Amino acid sequence: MGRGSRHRHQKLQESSTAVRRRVWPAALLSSLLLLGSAVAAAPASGNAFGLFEQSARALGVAGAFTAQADDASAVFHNPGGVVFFERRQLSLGATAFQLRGATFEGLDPFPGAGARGEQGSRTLLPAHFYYLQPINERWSFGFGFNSPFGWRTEWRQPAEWPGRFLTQRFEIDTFDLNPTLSWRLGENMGLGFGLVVRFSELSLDRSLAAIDPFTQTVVDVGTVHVDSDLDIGYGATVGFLHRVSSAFAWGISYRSRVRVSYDGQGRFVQTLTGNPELDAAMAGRYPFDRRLPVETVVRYPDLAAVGASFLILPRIVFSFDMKWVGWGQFTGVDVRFPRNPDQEVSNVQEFRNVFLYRFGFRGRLTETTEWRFGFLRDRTPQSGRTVGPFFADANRQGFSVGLGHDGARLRTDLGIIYLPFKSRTTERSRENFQGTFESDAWLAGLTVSW
Amino acid sequence: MTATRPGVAFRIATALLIVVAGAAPAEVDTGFADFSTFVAVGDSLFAGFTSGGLTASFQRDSMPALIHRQAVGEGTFEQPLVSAPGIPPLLELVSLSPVLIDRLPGLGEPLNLDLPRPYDNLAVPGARARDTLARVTDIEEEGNPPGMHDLILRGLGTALEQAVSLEPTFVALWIGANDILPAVLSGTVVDGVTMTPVEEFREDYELISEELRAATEETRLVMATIPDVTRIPFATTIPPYIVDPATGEPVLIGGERVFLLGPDGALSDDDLVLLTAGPLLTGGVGIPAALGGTGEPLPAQVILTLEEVELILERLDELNQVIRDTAFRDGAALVEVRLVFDEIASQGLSLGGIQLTTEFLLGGIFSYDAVHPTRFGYAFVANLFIEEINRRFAARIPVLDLSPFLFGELGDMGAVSHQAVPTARISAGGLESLFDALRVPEVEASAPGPPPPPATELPAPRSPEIRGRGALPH
Repeated sequence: MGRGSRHRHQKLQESSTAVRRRVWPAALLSSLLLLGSAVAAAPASGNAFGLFEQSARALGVAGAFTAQADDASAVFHNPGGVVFFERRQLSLGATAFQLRGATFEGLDPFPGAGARGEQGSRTLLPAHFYYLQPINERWSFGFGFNSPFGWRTEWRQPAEWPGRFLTQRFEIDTFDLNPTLSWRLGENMGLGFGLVVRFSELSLDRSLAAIDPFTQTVVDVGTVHVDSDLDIGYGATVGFLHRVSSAFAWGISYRSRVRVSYDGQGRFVQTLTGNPELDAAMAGRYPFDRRLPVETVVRYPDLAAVGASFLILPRIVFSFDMKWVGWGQFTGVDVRFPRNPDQEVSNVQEFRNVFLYRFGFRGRLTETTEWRFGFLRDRTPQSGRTVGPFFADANRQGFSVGLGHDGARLRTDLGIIYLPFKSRTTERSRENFQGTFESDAWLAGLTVSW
Repeated sequence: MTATRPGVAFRIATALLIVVAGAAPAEVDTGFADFSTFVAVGDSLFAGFTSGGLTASFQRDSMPALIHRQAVGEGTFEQPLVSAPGIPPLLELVSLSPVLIDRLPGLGEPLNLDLPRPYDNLAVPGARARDTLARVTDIEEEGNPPGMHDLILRGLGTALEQAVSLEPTFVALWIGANDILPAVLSGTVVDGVTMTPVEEFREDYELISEELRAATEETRLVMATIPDVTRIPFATTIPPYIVDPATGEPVLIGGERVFLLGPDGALSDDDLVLLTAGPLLTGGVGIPAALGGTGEPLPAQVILTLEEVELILERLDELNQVIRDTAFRDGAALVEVRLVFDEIASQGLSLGGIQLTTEFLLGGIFSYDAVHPTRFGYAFVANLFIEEINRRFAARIPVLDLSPFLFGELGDMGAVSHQAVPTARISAGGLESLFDALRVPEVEASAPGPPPPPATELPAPRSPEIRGRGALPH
């Protein structure tokens, strides 16, 4: 190959390398976005609409994992644990959520004792991915992709469902990118910190009501649909893990609040009543059949955790986590139409900060197989006044079981949680929509690591 | 001693008892409120008066009837029922462009005049506290037609006398609205004529309560405060400025709204323009000549100034304090309708995403006469009574399911333009019959104006047209 052709070849190589450098991040982001959009929203399951057990191993011990953080999901659970891995770690998994038949039964005075609603069972699969790479003896890098928040409400027979003027459907999808750096402070102590980049989108549907002045009764006159863009918010994480001895470890971690400002489009669709004059009047009131810009903000809570683990018997570890979730800043979803200030789709929520308690046990069945068991007790952050078709949370107590197997090349973890929601009856709701909400959920997580 | 198992016969008897007990209809726990003989005393609000008249289809859902139904079930609660189209005939929404409300044709008839005892519902439209004590008939001069007192009391005695004669164990009393409402309907604040003096009201109200309370040893009462009558759509529908009927938006000159003309010059945002101003506005009265009006001011009788509103509110507070003091003295349950209505008038009422307001025609709470509630409005207030009875008397009366009152199908007519609502008009006959039924006193006009135009096609700018006794200069 002559000099000229070598030069051209080199140029081509450089050029193709440059193209790969430009294409590769875009392809990765696109893949993540595609994966993110393919990932259905996690329904309300962990605490309110947060899921704080982001691997099958953590799921197996009901999330009592802050002082353990001994798999790649340390990126999420405690970045201080990232530094303790001597070799590269890669984990890929998903958590199957089955939200079973959420139901509603009405009470007097409204919507009345005969009112019913049902959401039906749904199975969703938020994924998680973690990568750990030791840099040197002191520093390690970690990267995580997961969905710690998500929510879907979808009432059957939306055109007849009694709560249709509040919510027919509401969905939030989120996924986080979580790069972290971890620093080994001493032989047994690690400090980590990271960035949270949260991608999120939301959508909702609701019916519109008006008074028919000839009958002095309520009629459906349309629906409003809102779809946001995929928008971004930013936060940070920090964590500290101290493995005091082979029998005791403790850790703390913190994930900051994230504020996501959404833009998007809203659309009002008219429902014809059969009366042309009423329809014309409503067409004057609502901006039907036009795409209008919308904006809203969701304030995701911060999460602080402190945990400890103890070797209580040979081969049996007990772990305990107390988590604090700053739900008090979540005030609901208030969608505004900047060009049509008289239109608004709002759902006010009254949430409070809460403490969560997690207890877990792990033990060795064999040298390569581990069993796990856990118990969780969560208090709902949602005030009874705002329980309703938009979101109905309840106190929860649940049990988890899990198994882990260390193969020659792969480690496989499986975790299952059953979450029966305590039914929630509201008789003084802010929206004057009284009734009883019930549901339960199963979560099953599978993570494969190598 | 060895315990023996219950015999077969015992177990069968127990099972049968359980089946029988389960099959029997569960009685409502009314606590210390004994609904054995339930009587209602009051005015049009308790009578089920709506859209300017009384008719059985609405009377059967009057507040006392609803309370009785929830507490007792489908027992007998006798009311002075009237056939369609009512007495007076009810108002209906007739036309859409412009909005026109008129009386239904015909006249209703009493359906149960021959009841051999007083009605359980002795509420008389138009009654004041003094009427409850002392009035037997509305015929004040020979030859005058009978009125509501004649229809309901039937010459058997005053409302109070008839109520006591029934020996009621529980009484619902809601009186006092007509001791203040005429000041709004007539647009004239005259103490002793359109507003009852406080001491007179106190004397009457306390005596009514005392007599009812003493009807039997077990008699208990529930009573209610008077809502703010200056916030009903009769007084709040017409804005004090000129509105473009095509858009419903204020007419702007130099970026400023153009206020209507009153006796003392241009009105302000603090003034209330009554629905009785409608025909005058239609004729151009109250509108500056430069904008096509006559330039003549609206008469005082169709306006409530800020000062007049303050006088009304001051008297309202005084009357309500009498009611509160009496409730406390007599151990009665007290429904604070005044406070609840204020909140609804300010913020509306949201039920599961459905917004209800005090807006005329489109708000869902007030009927076509702009004074009395709709069927839903009455059901909502009935629930307030039930909740207060439950609280005060340790009862567990179930509240009403409001859904049928919100979604019930009463007709299938069409629409009204939202922009045209400020120009809604009630026909001359409609308002006249309303004023007659509510016994609004005639007040001499201080500033005679032009005669109102006939209720036909409206010239621009369109505006509410109302004719009613005592409201217009003749």
